[in-house]
Amino acid sequence: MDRQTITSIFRVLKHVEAGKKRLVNGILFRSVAGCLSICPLALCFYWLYSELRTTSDKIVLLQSPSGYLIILVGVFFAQLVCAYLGYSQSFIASSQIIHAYRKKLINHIKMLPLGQINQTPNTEFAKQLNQDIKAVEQGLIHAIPSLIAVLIPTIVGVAILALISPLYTLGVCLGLMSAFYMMLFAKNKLEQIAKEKALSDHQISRTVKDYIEALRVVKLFNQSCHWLARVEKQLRINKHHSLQVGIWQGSPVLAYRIALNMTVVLIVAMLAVTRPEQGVLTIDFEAIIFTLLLMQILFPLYGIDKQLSVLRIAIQSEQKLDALLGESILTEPAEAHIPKRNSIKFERVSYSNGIVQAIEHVSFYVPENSVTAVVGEASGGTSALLKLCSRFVEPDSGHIKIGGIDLKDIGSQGVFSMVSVVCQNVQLIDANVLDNIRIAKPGASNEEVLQACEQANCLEFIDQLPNGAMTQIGDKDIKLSAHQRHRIAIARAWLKDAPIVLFDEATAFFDPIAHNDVACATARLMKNRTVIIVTHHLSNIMHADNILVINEGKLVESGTHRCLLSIGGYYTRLWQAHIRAA
Amino acid sequence: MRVEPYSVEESINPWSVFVSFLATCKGKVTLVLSLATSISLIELMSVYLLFLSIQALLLPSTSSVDKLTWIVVGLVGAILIKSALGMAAYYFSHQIALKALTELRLMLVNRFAALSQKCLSQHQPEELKYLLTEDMKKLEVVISRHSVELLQAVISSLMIVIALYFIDWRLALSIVAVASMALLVSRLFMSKMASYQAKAKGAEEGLNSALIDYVKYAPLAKAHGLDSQYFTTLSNKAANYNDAALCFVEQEVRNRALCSALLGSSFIFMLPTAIWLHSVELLTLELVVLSILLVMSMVAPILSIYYLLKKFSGLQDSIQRIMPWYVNQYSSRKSAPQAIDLKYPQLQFYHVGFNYKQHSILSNVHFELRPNTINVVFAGAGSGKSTLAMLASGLISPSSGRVQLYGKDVSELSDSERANDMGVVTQACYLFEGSVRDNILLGRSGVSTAALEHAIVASQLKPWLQQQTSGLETQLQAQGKNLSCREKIRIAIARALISAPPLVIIDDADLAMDNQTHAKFYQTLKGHYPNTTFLVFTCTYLGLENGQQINVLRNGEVISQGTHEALLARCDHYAKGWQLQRKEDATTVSTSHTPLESFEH
Repeated sequence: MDRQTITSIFRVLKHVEAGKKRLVNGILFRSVAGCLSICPLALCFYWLYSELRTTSDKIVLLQSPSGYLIILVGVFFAQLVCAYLGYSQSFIASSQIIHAYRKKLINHIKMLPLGQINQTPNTEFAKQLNQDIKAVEQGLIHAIPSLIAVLIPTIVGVAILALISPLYTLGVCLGLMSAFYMMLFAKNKLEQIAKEKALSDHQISRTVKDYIEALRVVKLFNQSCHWLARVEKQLRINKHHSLQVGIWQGSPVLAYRIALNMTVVLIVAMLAVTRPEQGVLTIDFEAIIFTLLLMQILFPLYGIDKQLSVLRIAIQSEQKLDALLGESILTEPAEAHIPKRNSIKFERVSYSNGIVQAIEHVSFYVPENSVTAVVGEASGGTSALLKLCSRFVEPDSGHIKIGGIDLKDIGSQGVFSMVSVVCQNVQLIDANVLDNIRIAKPGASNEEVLQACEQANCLEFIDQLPNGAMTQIGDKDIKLSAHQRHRIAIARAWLKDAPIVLFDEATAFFDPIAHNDVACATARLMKNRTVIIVTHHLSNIMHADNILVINEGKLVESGTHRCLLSIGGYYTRLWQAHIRAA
Repeated sequence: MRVEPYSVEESINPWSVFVSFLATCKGKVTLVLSLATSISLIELMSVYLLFLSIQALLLPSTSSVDKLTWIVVGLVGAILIKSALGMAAYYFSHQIALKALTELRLMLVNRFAALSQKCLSQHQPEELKYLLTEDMKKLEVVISRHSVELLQAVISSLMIVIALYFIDWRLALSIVAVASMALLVSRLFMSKMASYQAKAKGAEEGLNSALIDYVKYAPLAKAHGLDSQYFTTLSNKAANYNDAALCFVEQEVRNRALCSALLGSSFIFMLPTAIWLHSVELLTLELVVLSILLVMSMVAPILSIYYLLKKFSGLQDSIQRIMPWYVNQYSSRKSAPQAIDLKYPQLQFYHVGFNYKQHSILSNVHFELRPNTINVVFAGAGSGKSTLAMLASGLISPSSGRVQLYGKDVSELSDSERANDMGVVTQACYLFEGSVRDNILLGRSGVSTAALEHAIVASQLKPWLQQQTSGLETQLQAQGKNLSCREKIRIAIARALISAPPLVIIDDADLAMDNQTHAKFYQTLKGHYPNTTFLVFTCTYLGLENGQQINVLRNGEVISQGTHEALLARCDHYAKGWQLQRKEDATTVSTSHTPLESFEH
């Protein structure tokens, strides 16, 4: 156990209130159970002593085997009770602790900016989270009590040994120390080996994944033989490599065990060395009980390498989770200020998504009930504007204001109540069409929902679904195509009837009829609302009140369509490319 | 492909499959077995040496110092030999594991390759990947490490029991009684715990999927103020899991406590028995001491058996997943290649219908391709275009009706037949790390430079390649990450064209074209491959004026067929779309001219 482990344990315990005392109790009981397992041996020794003692002046307490049996059964039950109490206390405590820890994590995730969670592919993030929590539970909560429950009896045992014979105990301590040192030394070696092993595994899985992905296409061209040969070659190389790594995999543990074994040898050697000094031919009871006890103390220590490896994984996971807990969360105002007007203002806003500077010192103003279009290259910049505006992410610097009030003071709830976002890869829940749209306004009646559908030109395709509006859609059932989902998003925005609408059409590509349907619905939704629209379809935004041209994160031009064309800058180039295409 | 009835498979025991994995390296398995045995023997010997040292203490004599010295030497030797043997055993078990699993992987990989396309479509790539990576990794750890440990622990405890038996059978009996009691108890609890465990597992899965859902739907839920509702669900699931886990833990605690107490008190019967045997003078004192030592050294192996058996039972799922593949449940039926019968049309859809989860995607699609020309399927989004493309290339088979190539069902074609008769461009075009040339050739040899050049020009890849400094040798990243979507699909088209097959199917050709090159694209295809029939799926009108045969697909049905002009006259849907497109082009062009002129003046 090193500093890292201890800080990890305390970090986890810091997050929870209940269960700490229980955990300590459990560990104590388990330690007592461990200590009790020394008792039978003491009994063995007592019997041996009573058999061999030369003087018979003492009263023999136990004479019949049945007496021993009774004591042993007694010890067994004491052990059983202690073990039961120990396990139940520590297990219940650990589930309490992990429950509290999980709750803390979940609460933290709730408060994270949405952009933060959605950076990585969704399910990957959550899966990783589950795995990490599991690992922490296994390691910090289960392995630690087991380890302590082994270590405390060992310490007690060594203390007893010290009472019997301080000199030999010194030898034992020396042996144990060297074994633990081996373990520490092995830890570094193990980590190195684990890294190489992981690398080798990674190569194999890459080969395999590549193959599976290629398989369908390769089979189309009847080239699977060729590909199989490639995979085979790669697998054989990896096999060779893994073998080289694998040879040393068992060695650290082996070294630790050798060191433990050597402790016994050391004691026997010390016996041999100290023998002649006494010179008298008496039975050395001290030495006998010492040897017996030593064996008993050493046995549990053989198994701790397994616990330690579990612990190692747990610590890595804990560090990851701690990093997550350390990430800054959205600050919500104590009192939400809801703005009266619906204009939007960006004041020198900068934002980087960690890799590139998506937006740099952008300032603009969107008056109430006007349409502002954002065009630019397909980098993150244009859609980052929308994310900032809907508080999916927080700007690195600068202020975003709605109706003159900063988003931070409006609060996420307030912002979401004022803003609708319409994008193509809109999410669907696993429910029927009506309920999917209804989430925009939970109390809405079917008629209201259907009216929103009509406004969004949804009815046509909804009618064609097998059960009409009651058809189950979503990932598990019928999947809708991009333009159908886009229209669902428009219907939701209709139902929500928020004063501000953000459109993201960055990747739109539809056939003319679908395009026309969506364009009509969009135009209808834009009326009497404050709108920011990101699009590549320049012909859709010719009538926008203002067009912002973003290039490499900077606002390069702005103005109406005609005005921008007369400048003859970046926008003119985009426009010419567009009309050449059409 | 024929799926064997499942009942046949169920009779196979997963562990017999596990053993058969190792059958390829019998020699090494025996070697490891004998190594484990000798390790146990040496362990026994070191116990005996310890006994000798205690004996030297019990019966002190002048020679005991010498004796002790020799014992030390002996012990050191035993430990070193044991460790060396242990290393060797690990080494060989690693060899076995790696060899056996490499063979197994290769076998599975071959099985996958032998699957028909139709069958492959039924399996998620993720599922196959998991099989080859995660499941294999689990197997590897168990075979290479745990198996040796288990073997050694079992042999050690057996040997100790045998040694005790030689001392006195009653001692052996007393220790076996305790061990078997422990096993019995854990078995008993195991069966009782199974339901609790299942419950806990179910609750855990519920929690995990709730968390995944929560994270996944967070944007949606937050944007619509449903966050707290979702969060409550998640919290409830967490509480649920906690309850289930506590129930499980209560059971587990009893089992653990009893087992550990039983295993820890191996002396419970043995010591009284030994004392009794000694008192009736059946056993000398030394032998009692020896048996005490033996029993003490038995605790560790039994504990590790207990621990390792759990690991092994965790393996069952993995083996069960591998089993159907291993016993070749998905054997493909080889049909003799049949000669092409030219009296049948090249590719024909014969009243084809396709359903997905009771939802009809295609119904009664009925048309045949005109040979040696470009056949276009014009379809708006969501009208079953991709499904039709997959049916045409035989990746899936229709729910009703038939898709036939020269009178044979497309989905029944073997890989070589399909590759000979058609080139297919799917939406997911696989690109791998390597040069553009390698990606186009895809391992095919004997392609002439002229054929390659033709394919490159026809797929419109030429201008892009000319921009690249290294031309055809331009290196691609995995999945073509350094390319735009357009280049990717163009490479895929070149790939399909290169062997000049009689039929080429291009799904979503729009992705390959910028708006202005549609007409040119069709012309070049026709010009370079006059003897090839094309089936092109598109959703724009661009370039369709040039007299191709057009099939209009709408809502899963072919509603009209003919050339562009004919369709304009005949099909309202087609004409409406065309007008919309014209109108949009017109507005764009008309408004664009005025300001530009004013700017130039």
